[in-house]
Amino acid sequence: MKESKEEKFKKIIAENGDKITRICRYYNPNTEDQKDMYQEILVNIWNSLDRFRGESAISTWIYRIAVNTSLSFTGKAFRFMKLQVSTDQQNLNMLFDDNDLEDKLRKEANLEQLQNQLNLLSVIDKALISLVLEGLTMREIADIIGLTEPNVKVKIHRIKEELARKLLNNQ
Amino acid sequence: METNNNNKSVVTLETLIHNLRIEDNRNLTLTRTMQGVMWGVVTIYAIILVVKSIMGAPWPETIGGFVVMLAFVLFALFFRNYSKEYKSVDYGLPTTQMLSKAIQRYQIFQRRSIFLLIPLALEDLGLTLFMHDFFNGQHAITNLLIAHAYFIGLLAIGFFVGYLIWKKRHKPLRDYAIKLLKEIQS
Repeated sequence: MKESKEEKFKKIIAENGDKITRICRYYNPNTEDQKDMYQEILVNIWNSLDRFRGESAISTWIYRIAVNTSLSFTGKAFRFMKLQVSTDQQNLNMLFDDNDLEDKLRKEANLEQLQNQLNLLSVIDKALISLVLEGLTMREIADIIGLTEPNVKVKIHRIKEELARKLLNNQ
Repeated sequence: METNNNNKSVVTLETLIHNLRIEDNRNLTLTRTMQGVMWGVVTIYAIILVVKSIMGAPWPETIGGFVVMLAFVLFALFFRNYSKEYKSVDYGLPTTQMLSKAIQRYQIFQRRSIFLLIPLALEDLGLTLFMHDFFNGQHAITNLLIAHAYFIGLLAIGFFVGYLIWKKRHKPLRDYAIKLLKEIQS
């Protein structure tokens, strides 16, 4: 029997609610804004659901909606948006390319400084970093943003380099 | 605690779905009502034209009325497609595609706007035929030019008001989308 729109929607939210919550946390410092953005993403999922043909993985589709909503959401007041990294400390490793564990730990300990630098990123760079923090592959990020994989790699490498340089300068 | 939280989120989701359903139904009802009104007006107007024609109305008036009605239908169809596109933004597209579509959507002059010239020309032709008495006689050319000057003047005011609305509401969105797309592709 064919699933109704309502059933499909509920299933998607049940399976991907955590992802959406995390994306909202990346962009909004306070819980009220997070709730507003969460609701806006849900509305956009509902409105776009009829057009989902399963050409991409459902998780990719959800991330697309979340990132695209965040861009239009932040477009309303993007100057005030902050990328919140406090809830994803373990994932911060992904932002550093070197393999020196001691160095990584030192950098992780300097979380506040990193967060300040992340908050200074442009809204697009924040979107890319939020996907890196989610643990997505370059291929997946490329599918979400609509760029080629090498292009995404270059962009993320550039952001990471810039972050590392700023952190070193501030130490 | 977890159960409470879960219950709470289920209730919120149910409320949201309920509201979304109401919104969907409202949009559907509005679209159907608009379509109903449009076809209703067209039918009434067609009946009036037929009756007037039977009662011996001059042929330019009948043809003029028909042409104006056709222009009205074309306008209505054009704006129906236009508003449908504005309402149905697909957030499930890759970001670069979504932004490109937004840039296109919020462009002031679109290629398809050329098709608007057809109903406008029909409107002009229809009104000219409809007011054929006014254009007869000694000052026919002068009257024709005056009438067209008014028609073009009203169109110009309409375009200007449309431009102001675009500049205030759509241009900032388009500029923001262009900025984001440039940044992604840089």
